[in-house]
Amino acid sequence: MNTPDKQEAVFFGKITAGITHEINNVLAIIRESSGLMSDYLGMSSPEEFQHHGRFQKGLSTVQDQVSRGVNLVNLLNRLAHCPDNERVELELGEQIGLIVSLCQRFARQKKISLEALSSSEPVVKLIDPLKLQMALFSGIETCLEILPPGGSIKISSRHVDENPAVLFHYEGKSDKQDNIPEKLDGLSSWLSLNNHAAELGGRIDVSVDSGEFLMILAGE
Amino acid sequence: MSIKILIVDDEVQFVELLAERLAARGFSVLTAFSGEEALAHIKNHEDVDVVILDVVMPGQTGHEVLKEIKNLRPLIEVIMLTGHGTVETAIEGMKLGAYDFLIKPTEITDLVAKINKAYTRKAEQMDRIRQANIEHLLKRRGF
Repeated sequence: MNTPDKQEAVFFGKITAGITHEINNVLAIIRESSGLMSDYLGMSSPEEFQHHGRFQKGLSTVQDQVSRGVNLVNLLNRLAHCPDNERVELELGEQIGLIVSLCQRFARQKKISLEALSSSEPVVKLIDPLKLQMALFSGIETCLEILPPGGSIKISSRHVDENPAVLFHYEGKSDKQDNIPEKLDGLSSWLSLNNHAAELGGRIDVSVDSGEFLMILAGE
Repeated sequence: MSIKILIVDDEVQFVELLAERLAARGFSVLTAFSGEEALAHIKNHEDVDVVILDVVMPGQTGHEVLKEIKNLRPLIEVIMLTGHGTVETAIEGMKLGAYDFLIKPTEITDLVAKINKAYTRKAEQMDRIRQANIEHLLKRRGF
């Protein structure tokens, strides 16, 4: 369905995908250039060149950051392609891995650990990739909002009564002994998560005692 | 005799840097900045052993150039380079006869290893053809 929202998403997706290709080319040039400098440095010894060690260290840093940049750009490229199709067969564990990688910075800023756990079996669903990523992001945002620094979030896929599902498990020591369902209800991210889940034909189940909520999607 | 490589990519600086690094490692390197230039090299030039070919280029795409290379000189081995690997891109390249597929930016050690393996395959193919020609000649002469 070609709604204005969909058109906006496709626009952003196309531009982002194109730019990530360009950035990858830039990173390739930086890698080759620093690699060439490293090659030439390797032809001299510390006795011949006073700053040999410093240059080696500097070039090694450049290479490490290029690898880091390539990884980030590849993640962004994958997200940028989400609006390409409205219904695609996806393995939920892979999609969780993608959004967890994309959200690491948000978690780091709050000093909360964010992890995608591997599942014992693949959980496959025909689904809108962009809406799924938005739902997963809302789930992560919810956990980040309620956890104090030092907390942790673990996300995994599973089947619940043969339906594909995503489990969000959050842990953290808090001075407040709040009633978790009430606390969640006040959050805009929680409202977004419930709306996204409904758009995907699913629902959210909250486990009061164990710091978890489940996004259960309709099976095919 | 050094392995002859042709690097094809529209990113000029990338090609020049990679060419210099491969030359420093003992390869004989030609460069081209478009599919058209690459095919001109192959038609007019000395024998190329391995082509390193970018998938996404203005004008002729990497897959189109790959097809033409295989038509002109089937024994040349081609390694495809792409910015974002997808299974579909890899499969399409393999179906068209690419030797292998690497994601850009790639580690020079991985690229050199693939070039050496690709060259080995080309050399083995040429040996088999030579052997077949010799056997055919001998048969014709009644040996």
